[in-house]
Amino acid sequence: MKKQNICFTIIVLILAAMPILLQLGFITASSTVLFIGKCIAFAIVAMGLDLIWGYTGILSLGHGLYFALGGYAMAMYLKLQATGGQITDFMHIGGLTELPMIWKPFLNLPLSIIMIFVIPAIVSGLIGYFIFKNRVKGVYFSIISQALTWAAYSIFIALSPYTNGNVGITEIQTIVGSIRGDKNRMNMFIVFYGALIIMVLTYALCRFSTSTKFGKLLIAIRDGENRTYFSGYQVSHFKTFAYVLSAVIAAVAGAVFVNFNGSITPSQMTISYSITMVIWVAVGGRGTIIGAIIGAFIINLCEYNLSSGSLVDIWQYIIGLIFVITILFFKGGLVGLVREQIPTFISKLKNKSHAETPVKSKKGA
Amino acid sequence: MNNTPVLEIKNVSVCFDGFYALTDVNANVKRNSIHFFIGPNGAGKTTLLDIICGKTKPTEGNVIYNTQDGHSVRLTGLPEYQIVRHGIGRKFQVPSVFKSLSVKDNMLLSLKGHKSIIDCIFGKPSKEEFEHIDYVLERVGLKERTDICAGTLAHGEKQWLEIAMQLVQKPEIIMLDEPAAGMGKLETFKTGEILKDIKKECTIIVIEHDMDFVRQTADIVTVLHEGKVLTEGLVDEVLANETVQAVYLGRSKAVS
Ligand SMILES: Nc1ncnc2c1ncn2[C@@H]1O[C@H](COP(=O)(O)OP(=O)(O)OP(=O)(O)O)[C@@H](O)[C@H]1O
Ligand SMILES: [Mg+2]
Repeated sequence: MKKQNICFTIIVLILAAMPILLQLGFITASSTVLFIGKCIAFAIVAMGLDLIWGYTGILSLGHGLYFALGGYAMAMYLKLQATGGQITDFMHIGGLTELPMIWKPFLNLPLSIIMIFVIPAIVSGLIGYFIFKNRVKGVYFSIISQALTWAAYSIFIALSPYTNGNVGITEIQTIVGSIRGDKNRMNMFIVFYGALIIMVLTYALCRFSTSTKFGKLLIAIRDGENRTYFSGYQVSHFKTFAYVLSAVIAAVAGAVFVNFNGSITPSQMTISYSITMVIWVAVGGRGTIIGAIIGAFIINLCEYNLSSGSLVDIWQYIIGLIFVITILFFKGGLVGLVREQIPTFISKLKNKSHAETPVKSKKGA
Repeated sequence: MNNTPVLEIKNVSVCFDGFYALTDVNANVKRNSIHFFIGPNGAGKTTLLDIICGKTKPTEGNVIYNTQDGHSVRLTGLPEYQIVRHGIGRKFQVPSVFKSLSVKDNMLLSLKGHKSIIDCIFGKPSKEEFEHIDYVLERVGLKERTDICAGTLAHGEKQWLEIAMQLVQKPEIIMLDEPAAGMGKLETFKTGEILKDIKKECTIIVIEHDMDFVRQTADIVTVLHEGKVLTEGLVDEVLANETVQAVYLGRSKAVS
């Protein structure tokens, strides 16, 4: 649909204006722009999640895992930049005397970027291959995705000499150096626009792949998996491919996120963090790429503005309530509301007034 | 035309946790015929189709498919997508079309070939394929409905669409599980005529309860009862058979 692209363009233009507004003084705190940068990362992961859930009908409650894998890969590179390639403090404390093997690739930027793609692709490829080959679906898949995420979380905590456990990887700058303070504003803008470009590319990729026969097949799998098998498709391969694609997108989002956040911790790979991502997609409108983006921005902006005041304690409940209401009454989320429910409501109203007019005119006559 | 049966069902038994849904079923399906499997509820008809198309694995026995050019393929043990690629399509008992896609997209996904991920991302259907889709839709009477979302079709139209989705694959064998279920007299008749039209190009296996429909279209009828073959033959012979009538007793309306 053309309207989606127009809507997306508007969002991108608004985002692109943010640094300018900051420069002109309309936005007072640079932290606002940093926060919007994080929202861009969230929008990216939401698009990936939408591919697998909205289109293919596979509800993954563990995408935080891939988000964090990408995040850690980025953070490890940035950490080594900060230490000048030397072994880190937490490794010392953990009893290591030299840089562990798994950290070595992250000395080098191109290799680190490759890792951001390759590691989640391998992990999700293996998981997807075995799960989908054995035709695990529905709730069972969701539960397994949670369990695996939880397992990964425990491993990251347990391997604290390598991962710094609970604390995660902190005290890092960005891919172009420090972005804090006024004198580094240029760096911040570079990172911000870089993130925006990645979001646009992800959008283009998602739109392209869902417009092809491949995208239609994903919808077909959602509508009737059996029928798809009996149309001659090797459904498990398609599901695995879609899953890997969405995992890689999540990882890229994680890498973007780290640049704005300045750290990555295992809490980004928890189940609750993963479920929050699902909520963004549901509220925005699953099955439409633009819906995922809108959902990610709206929920996070609300959280940013509301959760700091008196609502901080009940914010979690509010968000839970919004989710439940969406699932029960607005299956298509906000996009569905604008696209279907409001138009039908308006046409109903129109019909009513049409029905009333002839009655009136009769009276007049 | 060669005379070997297109499908040979040999000594097939299926056991679900100790319950035999099929016991030692044997049947041959002739090329370009409309072969009916009938029988009371629970006779094992759907299970038999499940066996042929690879959805269920038989406990014992084999299903052999003989191609036009004289090859034999053992279907038992092949995954379903490969059986489909051999040209054996199936319509389910519950109409199952892709309800959020348009009629045309439903057909596009069903086209023969181009089933790999790469093909799906980068491939474009050819002009001939689009024409073929139009041609098939015309035959089942859905030409006017091409751009409509399949979920909004009437029940009968969904059944026809699903038949069309089988046809567009240029199949060797089409299996239809109760294609006329839930249809009115007129629609049922039309379905029968569609089947007679397409049997020139392929073999059709049908499960159906409606005896008028059986009379209208069947070449050969196999009666299943409690998982066993009761009898097989031409329509009138079979329906006149006393055992068959006894089996259908209480469903006398159907045999009348
Ligand atoms: N997966 C299964 N597990 C256990 N029992 C099954 C299974 N599938 C079918 N059955 C049993 O096998 C028997 C045959 O079922 P089947 O669906 O083949 O009957 P049918 O002839 O198609 O009946 P109908 O006319 O109602 O469609 C039934 O008693 C059914 O309960
Ligand atoms: Mg049945």
